[in-house]
Amino acid sequence: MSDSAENKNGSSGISRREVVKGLATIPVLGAFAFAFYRKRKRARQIRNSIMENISLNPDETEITDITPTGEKIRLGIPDSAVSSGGIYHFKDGRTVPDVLHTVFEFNEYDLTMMYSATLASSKDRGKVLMGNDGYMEVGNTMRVYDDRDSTRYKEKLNKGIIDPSIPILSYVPGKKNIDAVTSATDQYFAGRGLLYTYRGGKRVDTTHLHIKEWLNCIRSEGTPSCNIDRGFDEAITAHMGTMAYREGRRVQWDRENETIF
Amino acid sequence: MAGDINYSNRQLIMQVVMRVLIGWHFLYEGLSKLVNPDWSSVAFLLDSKGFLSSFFYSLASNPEVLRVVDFLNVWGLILIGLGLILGLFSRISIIAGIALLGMYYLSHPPFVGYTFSVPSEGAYLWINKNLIEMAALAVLLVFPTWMHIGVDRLIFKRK
Repeated sequence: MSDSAENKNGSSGISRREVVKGLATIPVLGAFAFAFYRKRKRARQIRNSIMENISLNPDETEITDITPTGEKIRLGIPDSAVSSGGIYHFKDGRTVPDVLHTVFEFNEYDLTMMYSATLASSKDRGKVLMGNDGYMEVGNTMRVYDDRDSTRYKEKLNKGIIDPSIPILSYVPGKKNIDAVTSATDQYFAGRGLLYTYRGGKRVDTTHLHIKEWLNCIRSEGTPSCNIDRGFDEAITAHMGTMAYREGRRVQWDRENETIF
Repeated sequence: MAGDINYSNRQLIMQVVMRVLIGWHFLYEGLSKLVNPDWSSVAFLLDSKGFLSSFFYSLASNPEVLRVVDFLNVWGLILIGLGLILGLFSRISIIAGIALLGMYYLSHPPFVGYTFSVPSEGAYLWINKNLIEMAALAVLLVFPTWMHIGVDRLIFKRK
């Protein structure tokens, strides 16, 4: 294509044809801006709709309270425990079981907690809280998935707003926001432990934060996040599981007298 | 001057279309990272494999360096994208684009024996889409269209 024709009349300046050719692709930017705006708007709508459904403020930046009443999840000591297990793999004279399954019951909350451990397999089964409307995976990250048969989210599921294979809520340490629309890449990396906890822009090992808190509490006579009451709850819970295994029976917790029977 | 190549209309249109499409891809990759306050290249860098992986790990291990890498990546993508779409400073945009894609390719080379955390959407052996996009940019570099369609035409107006 020759440009000589249009250059003929452009001796004193730039011809109109010249300008049109120079700026011919600018409309593409308009189309891009439009598409970008639509995509962002759609993502925001879905996010707000999900956040609204799970009773969270869309601008929430931190998860502080878990229950609608503002209480943090704290089950305390279970009402009963049953255990099963044994030395199945490491037959080297040890007395501690290498496979142990314990089921704890919490009557007040209508829930059971299953603890399943095996030293012979390194398969990570994670920690999952399961309910009728969804389940929550807790580990390096926290993710809430909708149950495909959820009654609460039935309408959203039918409309395709909620996809049960994608978390409706995701919290990754170091991220500034609770994310209701996570990318597959993020999920994959987080699932592989490739993300870290950040404090003041610095990557830190989370165990250091625990020790730091503990030392700070010694200095300032404060109370750490996991205080003595919490320690008591956890120790008794573990004891109940051990007793149930050793005695081969269902053990129970007497809340009045604080004894196992 | 390379820009003096005489194209047929079809040749010119298809070359510009390819330039704009690649530009769109770069621009959106950059903007989507810019608007995500949590985006960081750290996971991508730590997932690197191959003979240059230690270099990419070292970029990820220093927070200061990582910030610079993130900044250059995001704004590099955006500016390259704008440059390609508009035909603005096209030559440097294309060269920068090739360099950036080369880094992506070398950090995650689709060689035998390497598996990556993020599963790819297709099956690749030696050649992946980064390399193909790189080759497409190289074609654009040797068939310059910006002196015909693009802002460079106005800036570097031929006498």
